Amino acid sequence: MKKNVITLGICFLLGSGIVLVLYAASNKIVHTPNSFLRIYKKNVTTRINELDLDFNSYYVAGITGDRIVLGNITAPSKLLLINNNLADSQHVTLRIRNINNPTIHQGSTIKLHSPYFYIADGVEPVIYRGRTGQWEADRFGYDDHAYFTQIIPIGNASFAIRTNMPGSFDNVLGKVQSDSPRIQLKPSLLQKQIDGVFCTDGQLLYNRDLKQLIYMYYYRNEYIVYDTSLQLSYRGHTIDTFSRAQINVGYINSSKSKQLMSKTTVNIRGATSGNYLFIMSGLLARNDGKDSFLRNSIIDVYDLRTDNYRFSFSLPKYNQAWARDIFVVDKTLIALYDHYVVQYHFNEEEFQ
Amino acid sequence: MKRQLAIEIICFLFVLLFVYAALIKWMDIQKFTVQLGQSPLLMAFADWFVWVVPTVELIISAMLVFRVTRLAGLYAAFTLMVMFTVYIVVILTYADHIPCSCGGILEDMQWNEHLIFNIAFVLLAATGTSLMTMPSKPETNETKIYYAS
Repeated sequence: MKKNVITLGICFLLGSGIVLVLYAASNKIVHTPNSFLRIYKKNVTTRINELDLDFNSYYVAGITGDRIVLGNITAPSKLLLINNNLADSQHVTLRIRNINNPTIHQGSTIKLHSPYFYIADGVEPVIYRGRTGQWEADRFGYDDHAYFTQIIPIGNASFAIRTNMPGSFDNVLGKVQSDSPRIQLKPSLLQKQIDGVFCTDGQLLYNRDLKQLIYMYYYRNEYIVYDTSLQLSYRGHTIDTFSRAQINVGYINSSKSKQLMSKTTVNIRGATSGNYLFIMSGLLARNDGKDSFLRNSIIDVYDLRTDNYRFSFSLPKYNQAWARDIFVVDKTLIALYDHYVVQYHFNEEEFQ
Repeated sequence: MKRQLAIEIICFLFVLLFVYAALIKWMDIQKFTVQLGQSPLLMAFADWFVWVVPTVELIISAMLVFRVTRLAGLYAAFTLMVMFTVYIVVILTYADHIPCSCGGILEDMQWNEHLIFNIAFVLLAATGTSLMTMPSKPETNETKIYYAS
């Protein structure tokens, strides 16, 4: 009897020990510092306001006048308008005019480009346009069927899009507009490294001040800067050393699909305003403390005019949550944390 | 005699669980490989684990079938279930959604249901070993022979 308990105890320690060793080994791989260095600046931002949104499904649709407009992934026809000091908020329900039984489908995104807002549904595909402040939209002249997976308005009647190539489904960047040529695709902008879909995944951004589009890859140290006629300006590089997408893709014949197995996210989220590109990085530099990553998000700042890394700053966690998205306009940084929105002010002298 | 029946039932349940789990994994081995590749703990060893885990499950099942190896098989089953349980606890500490790689109906369980299911099997294996090692009047000698093996 006693012997049995001892044997069970040994088996228990052996079993849990093996798993904990695996855990420690995988932890070590994830948190190994990389060979690049960051230049940290302190006091880059000052937190000025915060607001509890109650739901974690909000995203920043844009800014109009003195209001921040938040869209909601799970309720695409609802907007939340909050004023600049986050003190006052107002719920708005979007309406579509002149159409029988209009529905705003799940997956639609709201994007602002003053004086208009757009409801973009890449699956249908359909775009509605209306004036900000009135929050009523009409179907926008967009009758060609061009599906898209990301979209940003770049003028009153034109949009930068990311879609998939017919046949191969590789990601491709392009543009749709109401004038001819309605759809333009530029396959040479994205460079396939592994499978064409996951390896080229990233975030599409538009800098209104420089009139430049930016596509930031998630899994390699690169961002593509191109103009609104889809001409490549340059390929910029983030400070880490991952020039090849850090992913593994698995293929499952029984469901005719491929899945992303493992990944190292180099660039988590991006934002751009003025001359700068802000990238929330997923990698530790050689001079980063391990616990700094546990307590902060790290934002690297790049100068888009010169394609240079400028400096980094840390954005502390808020209520135990890391920032899940950032949005920058002029001297304001808006960060979303779980179900909170927090507003920071940039201390100007850092941007000389 | 009642004790013997209980041991038979426990062993039968383990054989059923392990054979089912092993075969269902191999029936769609690509899917299993991808799921292991998505696990933060196992991604580095996925290609290897695809073969090791079901093989171990089948070997333990065989050990439970034969009387001579039954006790050792129960200890092995206990160890394996402890490993799966600790794995779940570790996985639960990760924030991201991680798919379960158990296969078949076992895959439909929530992580916390899975945890309870596993703990039940850990206790079952422990019960099995104590039933087999407990000294009993007529079977004492026989039990000791098992022990030595």
